[in-house]
Amino acid sequence: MSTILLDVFNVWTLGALLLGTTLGIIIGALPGLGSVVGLSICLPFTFGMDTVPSLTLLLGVYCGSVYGGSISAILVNSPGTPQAAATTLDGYPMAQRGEGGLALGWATVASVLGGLISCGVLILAAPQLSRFATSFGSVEVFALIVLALTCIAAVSHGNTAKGLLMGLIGLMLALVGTDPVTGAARFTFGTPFLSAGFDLIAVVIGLFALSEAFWRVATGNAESAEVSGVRMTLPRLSAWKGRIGTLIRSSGIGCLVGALPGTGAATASFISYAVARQVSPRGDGFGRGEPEGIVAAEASNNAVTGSAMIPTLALGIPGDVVTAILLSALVVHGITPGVRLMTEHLDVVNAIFVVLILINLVMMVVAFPLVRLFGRLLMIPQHLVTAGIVVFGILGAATVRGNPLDVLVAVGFGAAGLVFRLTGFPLAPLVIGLVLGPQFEQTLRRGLLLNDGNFLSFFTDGPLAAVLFLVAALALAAPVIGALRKPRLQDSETK
Amino acid sequence: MRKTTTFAVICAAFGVAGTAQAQTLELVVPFGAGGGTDTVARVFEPGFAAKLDRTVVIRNTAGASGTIGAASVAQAAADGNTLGYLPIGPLAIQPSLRDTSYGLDSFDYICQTTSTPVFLLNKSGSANADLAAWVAQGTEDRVVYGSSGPGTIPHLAMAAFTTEAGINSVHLPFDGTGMAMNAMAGGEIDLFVDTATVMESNDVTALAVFSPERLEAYPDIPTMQELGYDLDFSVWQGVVAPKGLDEEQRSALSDACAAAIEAEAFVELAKKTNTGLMYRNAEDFEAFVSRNAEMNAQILRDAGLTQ
Repeated sequence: MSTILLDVFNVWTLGALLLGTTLGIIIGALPGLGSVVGLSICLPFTFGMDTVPSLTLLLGVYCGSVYGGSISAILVNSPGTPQAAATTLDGYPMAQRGEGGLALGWATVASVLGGLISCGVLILAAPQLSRFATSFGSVEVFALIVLALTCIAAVSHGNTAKGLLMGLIGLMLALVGTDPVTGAARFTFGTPFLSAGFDLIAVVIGLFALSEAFWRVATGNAESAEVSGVRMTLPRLSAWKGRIGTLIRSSGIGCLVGALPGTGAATASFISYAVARQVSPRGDGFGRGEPEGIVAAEASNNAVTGSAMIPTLALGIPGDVVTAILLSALVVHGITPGVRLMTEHLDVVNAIFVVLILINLVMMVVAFPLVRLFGRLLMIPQHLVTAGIVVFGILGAATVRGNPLDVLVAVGFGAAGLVFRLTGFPLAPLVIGLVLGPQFEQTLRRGLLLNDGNFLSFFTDGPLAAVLFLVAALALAAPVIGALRKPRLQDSETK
Repeated sequence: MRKTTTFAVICAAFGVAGTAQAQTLELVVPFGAGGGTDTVARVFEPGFAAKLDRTVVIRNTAGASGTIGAASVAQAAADGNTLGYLPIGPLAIQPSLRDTSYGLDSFDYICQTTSTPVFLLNKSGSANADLAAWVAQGTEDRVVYGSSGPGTIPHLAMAAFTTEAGINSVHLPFDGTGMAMNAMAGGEIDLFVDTATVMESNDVTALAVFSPERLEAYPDIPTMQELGYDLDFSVWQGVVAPKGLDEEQRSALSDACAAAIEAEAFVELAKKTNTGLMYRNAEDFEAFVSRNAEMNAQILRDAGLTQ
């Protein structure tokens, strides 16, 4: 125990903790500079540091950036990271009502609690949960992705047809690039740059950030008066009444999805948002500035930060790019990650536990001045804010993979996003389709390869898959059943 | 006025994005920061820069199995300011698997830096104790093997093995090694091919090694040749330049490369990551790449992946 305290409570580690978390929040809040870019920037600096401080810096940047995306999502309707795309759905309507500070308060508290809950799960149940996660084969993950796709219907309130169409466009855009089974180039029109497909971050920048800027210019809409001088206000304890369930459920969803390889925080927040909308008595208000929507998105995406460590620490398997970068930092420091990590390097693992808890607590404290800073930034003349969004968006798109086409992709989707906004097509379903598309296709095709091309075998594959398919079917059927019941109620009232 | 400001700043942003490259030596890594290739390249860079007495900047141009980064090297000016740190995939496999805008003759070869043998792995405590048992299962029924994507070494080595052994197999490609290892832990795939790093860090055991001789570090693991399959696979990396580099520059770079491989930090990293150091000079590397690419193209044809 004392060695853990020595490892963690020294100037270097605490300095890295503060610096990493602050940097992470800023990186997350700027459109385009997501978690991966943030970690890539910081990775070379860690080569000269000790093991624990360097992991602390990286973990701080990771957790901070997942939270930070919500700040710009709420204040300027441009999620700083794809993980925060679901946060715009209710966050921005609240900011438009002049409740931006309160929306940020909900996001912060939900993020911190979601993060802490997942730390608890990581510390107490990492070996068990990692074993459960390996029982998710291709068919089971496919069923989970189908469940996640049902949230397209949930976020296209008002006009399901337009929402589904956008979801389909997103899924189809995900097909562009390299065929995951044969390696052949698809829908690339012979240009090698398209063979890597559309980069999610470039699309999100274009669709949300740039189109927001274009929309402001096109409509001459300056709402600066409403968002200026934002100060974060924490929600009152009484407001949590009835919303605690969503916090815990969303954190649970985040923990489970985070522990599965290849999914991640964006998927988790969409699933959790869809489920919350179905289950919550306030579900009808979702998408119109209901704090519970923010809680659902933010609790789950931050719960992923802790649970993504579960397969990484318990099995040595990096579930995504973020944990792969963390593992490579371990390797550089001479620690071989893997199944024996927890037995051979328990001191490092324990230090990671303590550091993760501290990061979430520090996040709460650092959030106040940073939100004020961003609020100040928004007080500068609106046209400069708009230009700033464009600058950071373009720079972000250019740096993400170093692929010059990504800048054009971002601008193209910015223009498309403007058209969608003007014609009333919701943007979120397109992102959902694009986020889930590659996983949807890969798990479907792997499942078909395993079952000799017989799709019906998916339903008899095992109890876990069957349960997930059933839940997805219920999620799809629930609104239909609800819609059938409502007119009948009205009928009886009029009689 | 406001719209003018906005427009001006947008133009400035494009300008900055376009000229973000200074006149230093740029080493293109065709995969993301933090990946296996990137980690080695970042430890290779200081020694290389010191010997050349130049500032070397690593640029990660990821995507499409490394072919986008490789293409950007091929298209760069042959002035010695842009080099590529490329592994086997984009250099000697992908050009025969798909339409890349470059080929083997788009590059001038500087040096090879590493060569790491790969192992045939199965889950620890698997019901089949040795390779013969898996071959028997594959003859009667089928074996499922995973890979970290189509056209990767894990895929090619297994495709070559199943062809050579004449067994029924299903190939399940995953998005990287991590997800494939998860599938192996869950029992979805039976066999996987990868380096000692992957073997050491997962709950798997090696059935054989794809090298001509047994390895010093693993004397108990038989070679594929001993088991009756004439197969030799390794993952390797090297430095290339755009075609047309002048001879003097090329030999200076090649010398700097040799020095970088002997640098203490590089040797240290190689030991930690079970990476095999392998220096080949410009001519030897060129000949090796050409041989290797021809072999890989043949395997892809045999496996029915290309015409």
